[in-house]
Amino acid sequence: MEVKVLNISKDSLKLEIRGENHTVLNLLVHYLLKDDSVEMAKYNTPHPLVGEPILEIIGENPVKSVIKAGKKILEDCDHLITQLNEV
Amino acid sequence: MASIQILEINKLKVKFIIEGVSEVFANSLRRAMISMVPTLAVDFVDIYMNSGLMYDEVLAHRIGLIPLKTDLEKYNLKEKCTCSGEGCPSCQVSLRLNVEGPKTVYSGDLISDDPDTIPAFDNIPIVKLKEGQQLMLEATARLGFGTEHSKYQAVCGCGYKIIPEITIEDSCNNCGKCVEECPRDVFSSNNGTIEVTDIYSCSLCYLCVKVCEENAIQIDENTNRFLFSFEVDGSMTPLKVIKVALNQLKERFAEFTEKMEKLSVE
Repeated sequence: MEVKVLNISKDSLKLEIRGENHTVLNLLVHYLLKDDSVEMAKYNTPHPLVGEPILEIIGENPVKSVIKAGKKILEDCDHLITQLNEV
Repeated sequence: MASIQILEINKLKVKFIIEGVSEVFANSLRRAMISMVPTLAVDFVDIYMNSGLMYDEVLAHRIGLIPLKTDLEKYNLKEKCTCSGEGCPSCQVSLRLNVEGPKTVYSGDLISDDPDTIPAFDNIPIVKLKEGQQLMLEATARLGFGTEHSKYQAVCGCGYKIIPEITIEDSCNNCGKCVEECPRDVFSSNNGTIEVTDIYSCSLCYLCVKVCEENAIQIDENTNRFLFSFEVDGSMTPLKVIKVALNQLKERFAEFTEKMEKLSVE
């Protein structure tokens, strides 16, 4: 995963996330939208075969929200992995 | 909180429930199991001798589709290997085939360099040879992802469905129409009272709601419970597939949050 910052300001963030697709981005956007401080979060892949997805977030503190969302997903994955290890 | 419960499991099939996560997470897990779990498959074949009737390329394609038992701790992805993609014993394995007719050549006839990396099933037919026909080849297998070719895909028929919550209200007059109408036999009549007995097989067709004259059946789809089921091709156990998929997802987000934390410091 290679992340290229296209635009960053106090209340907005635009990232190009190379080599990823819906599996990662749809999940991330969904968790971002659960956050009340996020006004808008969406991603778009310009072309399904050659384009790289672009993630756009508008909110009070988008970088902080993104970190929070990522950690929440990690937590959920961890819960499932620990339960699977007990099986 | 996310929780997982395994209903049925054997060497090739699994059925499990994930609870407390959104449908988006369920879909990501499904996609991860299909495309993020690497398996070994033959992708290069050196044919020294082929006097059989099958063309070399068709033969190579058939060999490529044979699932191989994969130990992910043992092998690296070729592009991430220390040999920088040239090919070494820790990123590829070679299988030899040297047979003479008359016989049917099966996947079990492949002789692997690594005794643990063998075809998952030894009864997959490759080609039929007549008397005097000979086949001599060396196949090289490497790790790959399902996005590249389906021969690298560990799972087959991987899907999930919502487990709804069906409530029968007091206005039910126990007419039994829902029991008759339901194609999946979700309902049953117990001494005249209608009960939900097999909620896992409900396909959300709503025929029971339509047929109920008293409007006594309520179906709630937003339960955040999902029933997953899939089969594996034999390359690894179903449990391993779930674990690898979750770990892959975890790895991506760990990397992503790490990068974002660096960004916030700057």
